[in-house]
Amino acid sequence: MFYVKVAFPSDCDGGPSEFVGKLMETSIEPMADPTIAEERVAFSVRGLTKVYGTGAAQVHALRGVDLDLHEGELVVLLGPSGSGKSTLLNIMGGLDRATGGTVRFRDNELTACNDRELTTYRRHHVGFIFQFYNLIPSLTARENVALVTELVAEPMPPAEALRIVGLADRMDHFPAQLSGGEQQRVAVARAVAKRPEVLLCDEPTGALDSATGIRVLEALADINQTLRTTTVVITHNAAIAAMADHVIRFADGKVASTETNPTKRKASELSW
Amino acid sequence: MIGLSSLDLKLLRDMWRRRGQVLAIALVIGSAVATLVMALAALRSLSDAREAYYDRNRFAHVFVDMKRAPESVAARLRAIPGAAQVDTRIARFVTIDIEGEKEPLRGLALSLPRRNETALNALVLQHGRFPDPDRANEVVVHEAFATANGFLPGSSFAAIMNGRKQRLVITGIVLSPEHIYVIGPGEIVPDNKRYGVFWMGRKALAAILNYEGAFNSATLRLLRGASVDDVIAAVDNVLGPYGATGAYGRDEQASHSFLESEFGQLRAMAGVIPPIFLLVSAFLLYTVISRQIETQREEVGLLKAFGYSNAAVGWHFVKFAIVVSVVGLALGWSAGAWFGYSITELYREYFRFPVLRFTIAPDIFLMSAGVAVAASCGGALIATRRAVRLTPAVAMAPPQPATYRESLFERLGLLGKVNATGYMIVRHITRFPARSGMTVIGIALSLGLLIATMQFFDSITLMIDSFFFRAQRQDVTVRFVELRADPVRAEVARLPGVLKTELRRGVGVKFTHGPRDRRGFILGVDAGSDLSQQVDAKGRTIVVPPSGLMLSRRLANHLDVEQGDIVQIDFLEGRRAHRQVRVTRLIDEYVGLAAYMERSALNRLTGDGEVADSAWLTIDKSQGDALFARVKETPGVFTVSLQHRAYEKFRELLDQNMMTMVFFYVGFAAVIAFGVAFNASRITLSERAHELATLRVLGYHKREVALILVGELALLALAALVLGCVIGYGLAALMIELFTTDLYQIPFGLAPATYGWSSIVVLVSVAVSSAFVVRRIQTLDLVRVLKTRD
Repeated sequence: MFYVKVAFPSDCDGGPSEFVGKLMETSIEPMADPTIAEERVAFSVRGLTKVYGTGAAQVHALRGVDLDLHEGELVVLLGPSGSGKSTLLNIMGGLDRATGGTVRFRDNELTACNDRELTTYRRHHVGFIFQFYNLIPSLTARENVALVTELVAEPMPPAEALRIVGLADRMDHFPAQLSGGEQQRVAVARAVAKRPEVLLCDEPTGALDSATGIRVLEALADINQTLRTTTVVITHNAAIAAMADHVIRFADGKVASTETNPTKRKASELSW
Repeated sequence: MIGLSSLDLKLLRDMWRRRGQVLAIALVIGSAVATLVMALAALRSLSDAREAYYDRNRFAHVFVDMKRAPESVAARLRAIPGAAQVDTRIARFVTIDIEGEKEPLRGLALSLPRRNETALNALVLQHGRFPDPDRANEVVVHEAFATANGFLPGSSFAAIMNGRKQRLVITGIVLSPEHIYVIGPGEIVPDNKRYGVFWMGRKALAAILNYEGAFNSATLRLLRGASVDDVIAAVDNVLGPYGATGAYGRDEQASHSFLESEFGQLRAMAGVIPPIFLLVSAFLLYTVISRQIETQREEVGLLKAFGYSNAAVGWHFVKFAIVVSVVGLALGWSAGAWFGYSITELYREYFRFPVLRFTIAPDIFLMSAGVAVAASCGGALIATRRAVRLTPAVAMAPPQPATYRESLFERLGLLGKVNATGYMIVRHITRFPARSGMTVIGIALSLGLLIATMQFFDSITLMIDSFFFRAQRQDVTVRFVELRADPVRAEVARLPGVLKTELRRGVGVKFTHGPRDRRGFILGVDAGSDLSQQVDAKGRTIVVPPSGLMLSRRLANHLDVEQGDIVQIDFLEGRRAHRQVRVTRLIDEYVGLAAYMERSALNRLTGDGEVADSAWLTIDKSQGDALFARVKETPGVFTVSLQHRAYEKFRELLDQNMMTMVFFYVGFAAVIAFGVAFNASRITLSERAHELATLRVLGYHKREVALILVGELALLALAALVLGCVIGYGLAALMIELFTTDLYQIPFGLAPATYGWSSIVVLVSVAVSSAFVVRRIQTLDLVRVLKTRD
């Protein structure tokens, strides 16, 4: 099972020892039992606003978002461009700062953390997957994964992570030698190899054809199932919503609706 | 109102965005231009001043000294074909006694020409008046001596001439084209307080020295096109019977040849340093413009699609280089003018011209602009080829993803086990081998330049050590008026405070070997001498062989002589014997074109018996004053020179000039190292911004990301240190070669500490430049990187 072995050396929200203690407390419990895990709130977002620019050029990307995401869930955020879903994901991932409101990850307030603490948070808790893969061209598939596993105490071996995404035989290839789908699967392997509690995916299939996209989604669903990783997927593609536990629709910087899928479909059953 | 085209506006904005790099490159170009302008303008100002001075004051072409010749012989000199004007005079080294000075001073007494307005080597009266021919005790003194001793017209001093103390009154202060650089015989640095030239009426001087109707020195000015060598031969022929020590041309005239050697060093400076800077700046422009074209592919494609020609697009990027060189020129011209002015002021202290103005001729500006722009455009053109070759369609498509592979180091298993960021560093270096190589070479050149320039301190330390503490360990040198038989040793030893006495003898000679000949001087040294060791350039003591001749390597090269060869020696003094002597040893010496023999062997050759012309003494310093007082009154003593004074003057000169030079050299090297390193890390940052932001997103802290930038630069700098030390060694040897003149050779002796200090300076420059770049990691936009393709 998986544990947070590396303390989160933060002094945000009530001092370092408290925060580390909370993280340790929540993390040392086994996550295998879905009845326990799914009840626990991973992210709690309250009154979140984000304003870019000043004066006439002001853009209100988020206009007061409230939502809770539970541990082990696979959540799909749907919405048109500019609806604020990426901004929310960036703030939840510790890449961007809110203008107002709070985001709590478990018992810790991310919106009160400084830059260094957010980096440490990303390092130990979050896996990212981007539309354009963002692999390092000078590193092979295996080394791209190692880039992340070198940062944490008990990661998966890079080879195992690549095996999970079906790239066992392409491990020593450089990004330029891999197809787009293969590159995105390396990115998935890189995101999961450190056994993150949270997996944040921004348009993970946006640059891929549907068959390749489905392979990538299969890998994500598989990891969500086996590792119980809280997974958030942003997409334009409504078809993908069918594989989620919950679907949150965004419009104009606010949550427009929240739905729960009574039956999740397998990624392999999707088509677009 | 100047209308800038849209492309020009784009150019200016591009430059403003890259202002750090633009400034770094402009500084490198500016250093080249500054050095060039300083050296060439100072050289031109000095040589123009000298030419005008020589011309206006009729500086002679040929000089000759002899024992004594009747005035009637002058007519025979005037009859020599090629001689335009011949002036005779009386010249004599004397001991000077200034009130309040315990140590004896030396002077050169010269007779004034009858009519200064038409005389050769005419004097320039700076203050006061020329002596009244009817007054025997009036003199004019050289400005250098007057200034150092605070003399004004009306001041007086005493000189011991012909054994008699003469009280002399200064009526005027003068300059002479023969004494632009005033240095006493046998001195290595000028000491204007203790050596001075003065002139008095011919009749008065002749009366004191018993030279009525006779002369002992002559100078000749030649007709245009006359052969100096032929005239010298004719003069020697005429004056040989009168004890002439051999006529010589300007090349062997002390003041002229010192000026020449200074000019040579300025030329060497202009020849060595600017090309290194320009090479580096061309490379920097190449990398910056290449990167600019890389990041502006789409714009290049768009411009071409709009119908801009290849030439227009190429010219756009070349203009970038031209504007950078214009900024560099502005910096370089102002710095060069300032440096040139300062160095000329420094020269003013050593070179006495009636008029020395620092001017920069327009052609120097033009020439420096030409080479700076040419070097910059060279670098830019190579980079621009790629932009010109891109077709619009290709240019507007995104570039192919960077392809990497395992580096050679990994395939050879040299890398060992490193982490992923380690691979990122090494593979980026090996992915762009030419650029990495040029960065290494650029930093290495800065280190090499610093080592090569800082070596002069090592050389001078060696010179001081070898000259003052080994070759010439005497405290005092006493020169006799005439050759004295060996029993003089006992006489000298009886002087107050003398601890040890050694006798010396030197003879002026002409060496001939095959078609080559050269005037010189053989120093006779006693076997087992304690006070002088002949030390070679490697610091080894070389013993003067008991028989035969020991020549300095440079003299041997002049004469094309090897050890074991026989040279012809024509003695220029005394009985003027002609002898064949075998060269039994060669010595690599720093200063002069010396030749040595054992004194007894030399005396046998000249046929003079056991004689000496000087004594080297060590003294009890507490009795120095008593010794000097006695020596001043001793008629047989010609001059006295003090070793500690020479040493102090040498150190003084060194301290004055060297710190300024260190400041320049360190500054220059730092500019190159900073420029190269800043540029390299700036480009790496630009290329890798996307990757580095990705690492930040993945949870790498800023310092871990910075390590990738710094690590790459550190590896390159490390390689550059090794290469730089090798380049430094080579460049140092080249500079020594270029700075070597007829008069001296600078010893080559790079100390390990010089490598160390130079490396530290370069590493600090690299570290500072990377600190500038690392700061930019703070500003990486993490959100944007998620949304864009690299």
